[in-house]
Amino acid sequence: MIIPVRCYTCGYPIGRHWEEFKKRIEKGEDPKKVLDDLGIKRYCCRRILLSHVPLIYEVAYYKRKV
Amino acid sequence: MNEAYNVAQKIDVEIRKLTDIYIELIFKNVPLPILNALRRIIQLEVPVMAIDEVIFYENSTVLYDEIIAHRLGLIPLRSEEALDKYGPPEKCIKCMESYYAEASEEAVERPSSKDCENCFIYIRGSVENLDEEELKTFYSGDLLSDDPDVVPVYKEIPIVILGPHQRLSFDAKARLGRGIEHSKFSPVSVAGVRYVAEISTNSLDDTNLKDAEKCLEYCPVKILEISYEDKKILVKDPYECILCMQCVKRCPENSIKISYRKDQYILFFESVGQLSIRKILLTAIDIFINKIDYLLQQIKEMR
Ligand code: SF4
Ligand SMILES: [Zn+2]
Repeated sequence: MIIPVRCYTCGYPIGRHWEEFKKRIEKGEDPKKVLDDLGIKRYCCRRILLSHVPLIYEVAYYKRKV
Repeated sequence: MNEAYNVAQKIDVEIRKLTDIYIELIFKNVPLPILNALRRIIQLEVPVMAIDEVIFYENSTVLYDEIIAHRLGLIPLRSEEALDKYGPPEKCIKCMESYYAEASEEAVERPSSKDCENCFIYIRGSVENLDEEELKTFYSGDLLSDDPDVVPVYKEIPIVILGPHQRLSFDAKARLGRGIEHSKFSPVSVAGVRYVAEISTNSLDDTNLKDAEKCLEYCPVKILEISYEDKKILVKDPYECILCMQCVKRCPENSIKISYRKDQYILFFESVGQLSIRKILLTAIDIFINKIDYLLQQIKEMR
C-alpha cells in the first residue's frame, strides 16, 4: 500500500529513502547500486524497498466522495 | 570462579568504528553479562520522544485513522534537549492511566495538572489536496511542532498520499517513553554484543600451500592472506572475524584454528537519529549506575 515508515525487522527509518529510490529506479538505474548509494546495508531494510508495491498511488483515486 | 570475572584487571574501552549514527566499542576485561545489561539498557530504557496519542478532526484519505496514527508514532523525533525538558515517562503513563480510569470509574491516584504540564507537547498537521487530478504527498517535514527542539529528524518520510480533494487534519501528543513499552521509543535500531576471535595459524608445507590459496576465498569478510615467505596464513584484522568457521572447514587440516577471547567483547549499536551516539551511551550508563545503586541499597536494607 504505502511505504512503511520503518523497517519491520530492525527499526531503521527506511521511509525517508523512498522518494529518492523511486525517482532513480524510474530512471532505470540498477536497484543494487541505488541501495548501496543510499547506505542501506542490512538485507532486512533492502527488501522493504525492493519488494514494495506502491498501490496507494492508484487506490487514492477510488474513494467515496465526501 | 571463572577467570573472565577477575575484576582486578584494568578495564579498557576502545572505539573501533565511529560515524554519526554508528559506533563499535571494544571492551577489555568487562564481563559479558555486564555488557549485555548495558546493551539492553541502551535498547529498552533510554527515553526518547515519540507521538503517542492522535486526535483526528478530519480524515478523508484512503488510510484509516489508526494506520496514520501508527505511522505518526514511528517517526523519529529529535530528543537531544527534550530529555532534560520533559517529565520522566513513568509519570506520563500515570497521567494516561488516570485518564482511562476516569472512563471506567476506577479510583486511581491522579497527578496534579501542574505535573502534566511539561510532560507532552502537541504536534499538529493539516493538509488538503486542492488539485483536480494530481496526488499530493504529506511528508513528516510538514508537521508543525509546538517545541522547536522536538521536530521530526527526517523531513522526507511520506505519511500519507492524498487523492484529489482529500483532507487530513489532526493534533498529536508526543511524550517521552522507553523502548520497554513500545519499540517506537527505542533510540537504536540495532544493538549487539559480539565475541572477538582468537585466530592461530600453523605453518603449511608445499603440498597444501595451493589448497590454502583457494580456501581463503571462503572467508566472507576477506581478512585472510597467505605469506609465501613464512608459508603461513596471515590475519589482517581479527576484530573483523565473525566466527563463521568457514576457514576451518575449507582450509588444510590444522593450518588455522579459531576460538573466541574471554577478555574482550565488541558492543555495537546504530542510532535511529533521535539522540546522538554520545548521548545514548552516557544516558544508558547513568541509568545503569542508578540501577546498581538501587540494588545495593535494597541489599543493605535486607541485612
Ligand atoms: S571464521 Fe569466518 S570470518 Fe573468521 S577468519 Fe574464518 S572464514 Fe573469516
Ligand atoms: Zn532493517
